[in-house]
Amino acid sequence: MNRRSFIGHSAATLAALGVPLGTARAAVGSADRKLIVVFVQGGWDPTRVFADGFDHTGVSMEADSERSNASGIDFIAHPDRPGVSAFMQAQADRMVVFNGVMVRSIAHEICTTIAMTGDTSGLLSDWPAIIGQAQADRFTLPHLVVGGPNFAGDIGAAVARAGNNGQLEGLLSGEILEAADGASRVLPMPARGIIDRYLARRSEARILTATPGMDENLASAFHEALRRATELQDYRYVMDFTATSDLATQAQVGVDALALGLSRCVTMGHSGGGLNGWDTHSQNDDQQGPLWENLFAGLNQLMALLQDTPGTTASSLAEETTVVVMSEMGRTPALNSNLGKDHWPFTSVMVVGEGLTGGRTVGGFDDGWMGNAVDFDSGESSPSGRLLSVEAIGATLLQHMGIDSAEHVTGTPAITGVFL
Amino acid sequence: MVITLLLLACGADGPAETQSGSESTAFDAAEMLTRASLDIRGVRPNLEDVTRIHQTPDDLDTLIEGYLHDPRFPRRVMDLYSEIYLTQGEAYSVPFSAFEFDEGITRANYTEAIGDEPLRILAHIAASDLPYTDLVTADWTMHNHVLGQMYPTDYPDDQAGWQRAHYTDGRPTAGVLSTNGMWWRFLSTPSNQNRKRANQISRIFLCNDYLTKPINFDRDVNLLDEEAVANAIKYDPGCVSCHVSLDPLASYLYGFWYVDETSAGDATVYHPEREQKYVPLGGPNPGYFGQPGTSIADLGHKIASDPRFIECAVETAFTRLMGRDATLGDTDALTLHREAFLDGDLTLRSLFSSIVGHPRYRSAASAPDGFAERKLVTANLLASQVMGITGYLWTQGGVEMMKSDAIGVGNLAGRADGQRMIRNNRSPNATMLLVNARLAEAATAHLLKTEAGWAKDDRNVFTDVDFSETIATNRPAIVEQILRLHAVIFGRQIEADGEEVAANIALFEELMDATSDPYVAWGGVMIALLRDPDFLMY
Repeated sequence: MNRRSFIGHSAATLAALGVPLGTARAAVGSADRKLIVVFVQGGWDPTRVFADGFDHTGVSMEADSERSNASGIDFIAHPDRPGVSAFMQAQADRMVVFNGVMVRSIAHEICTTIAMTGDTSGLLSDWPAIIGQAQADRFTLPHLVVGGPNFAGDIGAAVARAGNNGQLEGLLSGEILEAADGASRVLPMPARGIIDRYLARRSEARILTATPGMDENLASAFHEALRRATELQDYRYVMDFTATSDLATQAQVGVDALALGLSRCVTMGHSGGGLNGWDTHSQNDDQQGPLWENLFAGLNQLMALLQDTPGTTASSLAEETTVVVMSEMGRTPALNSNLGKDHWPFTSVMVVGEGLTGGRTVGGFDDGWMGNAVDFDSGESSPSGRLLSVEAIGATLLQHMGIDSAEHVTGTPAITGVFL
Repeated sequence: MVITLLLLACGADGPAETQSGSESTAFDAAEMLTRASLDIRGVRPNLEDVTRIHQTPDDLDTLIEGYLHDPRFPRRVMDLYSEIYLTQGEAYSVPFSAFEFDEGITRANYTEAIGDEPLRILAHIAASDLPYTDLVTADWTMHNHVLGQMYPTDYPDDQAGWQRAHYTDGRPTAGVLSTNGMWWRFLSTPSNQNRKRANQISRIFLCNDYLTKPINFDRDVNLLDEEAVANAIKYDPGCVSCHVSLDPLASYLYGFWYVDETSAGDATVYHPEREQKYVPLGGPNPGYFGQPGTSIADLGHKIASDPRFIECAVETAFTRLMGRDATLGDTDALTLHREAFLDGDLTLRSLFSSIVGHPRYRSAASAPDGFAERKLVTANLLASQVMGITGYLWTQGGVEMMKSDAIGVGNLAGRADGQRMIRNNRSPNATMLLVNARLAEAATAHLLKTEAGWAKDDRNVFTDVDFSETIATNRPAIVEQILRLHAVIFGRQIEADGEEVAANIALFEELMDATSDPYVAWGGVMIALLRDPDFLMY
């Protein structure tokens, strides 16, 4: 029996760790919601699944693709992508698709920064970091980054990356040193515990002597990080932190982290592999199709894991967890001379979870393939409304998770019309 | 954004910004020495310097000046600027397998060499006191034996290591702007037309990042119509404000346009035949902010003549060393540093000397005249200071673990790679402390193994014990050893009857109780000190 099967999403294991178990389907309060962000790196082409451009002469739709519908959500089906259709059929009633979301740039790094933080500087904390930090005392690693980008901002102590090659697992066990060149023996475990306790005392004392300002901030952050690092070592015995670039392995780590109460938020990444991955400036159709199917295969596995895993306040994690799937940008609607599609500043975002008016598409693309305006109070398209933007998506996520978005997003309210 | 001297003319030289709740506290001389040594050399002061600064605090300036001539200074410059250049990637379009390397050259050697080339130019400029303008005007580059087997270069076949070399494919010479390392890291696409590359030039050398300016797409422009978009870039005020200067910069760069970016044959050489590819692509003629231009060499000279280049150099060095962004309140200091830089013939040493000698670098918290932040060590700095004390560098298969994210722990230690993380961590987190814990264990094991085999007089760290003493048998030796550890690791001279010694003796005894092995107990004490908050904050 390995650690994962030991967890087995067993009620006894979770109870032993002090994780409260939900026993019946009940409304999950916003403060008890958990978040998974799946970030598709490189710029996806929304016309493969979310954006219907069949009636638009300027949009290159894919051969053999066709309109389909699941629980009120129109989507693009393709015979080579059964995983997409399966996902839509299974999840659409809890899903909101935002179409025509503006990113305000067409450069990967900046679009990623804006999509995750609503700002170009890279200095602000991203949405999952803020959401995790809001309950920093409840979780050892409020925001675990298993893959994809992250922007810790000034709340770095609440955020940690797992590495894409088992690095965190190796650090926790110490095995990472066994592979080091010229490895020497490390200390026996009892000594490690003694040192950890010494450092805890030392870091407390350091705070007391800190000068106000950055010195004090860093001393406090060190103390907090040390506590989290020490607690994290206990989790090594009940879960495996090894993930790769494969979404399925990231999903396993992420779900374990949520189930065990280790984290409130998890970010995962889907890079598509290879040098360019989703960044399909040439041969768009040949490349994007398999990538979408691979992405949704991973998402299907993720949702199955969430469904099969007991929640901490509801009967399953699926009831507690909001899953956001996004990419930093969209792609031009028409093919270029290399049969590729270039960068486009309007994209789509998919959100699945409880507490949302599911079975719904919000926004859309206009004749120029830019975003339609939306009345944020109702979620309906309205010429007098606002443009959907990634900041609005961020504000909506914060509000959905019980955080006053106005404290973090200036000038853009949440799209409250999508809340139940 | 460059905080230019223009601000002075605008009357922006008012009182410096302060942090509420903060108080002015100057670093003492010993602490200042440690701070400067780490910033300039990447290592902590040696025991001789620690002793000297405690005896003669007035020697601080002399010691710091010496650090500026330390052979580790150029390497430290590379580390400091790596977060700006972001060229040290782990994947490049031309695969390792495209080259027939000599036996012994690994994939890690290949990726490291490609990304280091631009930073090695900077390091050589720092090491040789060359004018900073050489960064964009030099007729040489830096290559090692790995690049010697990849690129058209006059790098000697029978040598190894980094040295000055020249591309032999006739490319225009413009320092970093002429390197494959720069343009392999920052590729372009047919639709982007080198704009991303042009922005890197503007961002790195002029502190003007076009991408930080949000784009508000004009809904009256049909983005589906290529002609309409091309017209908007030329005539729409919202677009023109950036594209009027960005696009002519981009047009300089078509000699580095690759038809097949995965082909060694195509991507290793400069293409003069493609220099004017901007014409069929509808781009403007090369130009530098209104001045018509010709080649990359011309671009380099125009950048070097631009006052913003110098101001950006000053601001970049200032932010690297201060550990925070410059504010309006720093304008007076930036002006002084700029003058010192100019008076010092634009050598990096003169610029760094001015910054670390300024009172603002030496005040520990906010003060009426500005402040320097307490800083967190970067992953690179953590590795180099541990190596400085223990001689240990954490590698796996020859790859420096702190510089790798594929197999290493760079990201987990807070290192920006420009893709998953675009900024180094500014505060510690759990994974950084875990990385440091393992690094401390491995480095201590290495140090103990090394020094235990030497006579005490030959050791650097464990000079007072032979790993058999206990508190009962030789307490004085143990106390002396603890004093030495604090001096070596923190640059502090502590009291033998002080609380630090008492705490460390208690730790030693607890470890002895658990292991009955003085060797392991000393290892534990050393590890604890290498994991101390004051080893990560400076």
